[in-house]
Formats: sequence, structure tokens, C-alpha cells
Amino acid sequence: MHTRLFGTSLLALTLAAVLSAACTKSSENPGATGTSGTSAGVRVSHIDMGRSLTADKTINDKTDSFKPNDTIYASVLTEGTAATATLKARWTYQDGQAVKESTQTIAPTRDARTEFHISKPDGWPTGKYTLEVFLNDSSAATKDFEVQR
Amino acid sequence: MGIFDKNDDKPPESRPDFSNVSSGGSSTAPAAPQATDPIGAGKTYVVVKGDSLSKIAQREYGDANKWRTIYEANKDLINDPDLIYPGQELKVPGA
Repeated sequence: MHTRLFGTSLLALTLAAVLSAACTKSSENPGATGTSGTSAGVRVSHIDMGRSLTADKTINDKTDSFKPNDTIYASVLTEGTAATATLKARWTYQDGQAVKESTQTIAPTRDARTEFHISKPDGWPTGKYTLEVFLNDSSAATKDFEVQR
Repeated sequence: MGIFDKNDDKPPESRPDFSNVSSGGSSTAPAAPQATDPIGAGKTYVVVKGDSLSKIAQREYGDANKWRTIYEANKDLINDPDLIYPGQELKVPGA
């Protein structure tokens, strides 16, 4: 009796731990285009990626798969206003190595698009990459992409 | 040849070099005004050969004794106030 009760409790605890871990994981990585960080009156709501931009900083040809010689563009949509907001783009390679980091300080008076782009004259190594966008030094959104031949 | 020599012929796996990556960006939002320090807007001064903090203070403030103001504003760049290097960009608060 005691053994059965103990077994059932252990099973319930394990299940709770697994569910808790799953929930933590999903909130750590809000996803490619998911809603994310808020800071003061502005928040990052969306990231698109592609190979070229329009004049209003939206992506012309959305993709998350690039060729080694592409210039890689990310267009970050922010909603809201702020006297000052700092957006930082941190690009990393699959092994965790930093590729590039750049920052823009903006004063959005309405929803705005901020673009970041990177290029590599001798071509990108193939593999998986991650772009993490920070709003006022807090991680606001991530987006995974890859470079293929 | 021992068993531990087995992998010696493999070339070491090299990490990709991202040192030549260039980046840029722009926004539809206006650029925020640059942050100002409490003393004033200040400016940036590029160190040239023969400079010292007191010489820069004399030139910028008319008072060589104000070198510490420059030092305090650039502690992230300057380890030793007696040692600055040509090409360093120093913030000169309130100048």
C-alpha cells in the first residue's frame, strides 16, 4: 500500500517537473516571430529576416535560409513609443561563437521598424545561426536561421 | 603506435573566423539623442603623440589640474592616468 502510494507520488512529481521544464523552455525562447520583451512603453513584437529590404525597412523576400554570399537582413518591429530605446542585435554561430553585435538607439514615436544587417566578404560558413535581439539590455526575441550551399 | 595515437592524423577542427563580418542598420524611428553626462554635453578628444591628461585638461578646460575629470570619465579606457595612447578617443565632459 505504502509502496503503491509512494510510486504514484513519485510519478506525479516527475510529471510536474517535466511540465515545469517545458514551460520554462518555451518562455526562454519565445520563437522566431513570437511576442517578446517589453521595456517601458515599447516592445519588440516581430522579427523578419531576408536578403533585401524595402524603403520602409520591411523585408522584401522573407526567409530563414541563406546562401554563403548573402547579406543577411533582420527587420525588427517595435510597438509603442519611448524617449529612448536601445535595440541590440547579437548574432551567434551554432557553436556559440559570437558573429557580430550591433546597437541602435532610437526614439520611436509610433510603431517602428529597425533593420540590422550583416555580411561576410569571404562567405558565411554553412550551419545554424541565431539572432537575439535585446531591448534596453533585456533579451526580447530570438530567431534561428541557417546558411546552406 | 599506441591506441592513443589513433586520432593524431586528423587535422584539428578549426572554428570559423568571423572577424571580417561587417554590420549596419537603420530605423524608421528617429535616432535618440545621445546621452549627456551630468557635467554637460562634453566632446570627444582623440589623443595624439605627446599628450597627457593634464595637457588635454589644460587645452580643454584651461586648467591642467582638471585632468582627473577626464580620467574619471574614461576609466573604462584608462588603466593608468599616466599612460594614454595616440588614437584613444576620450570623453571630455563639459568641454
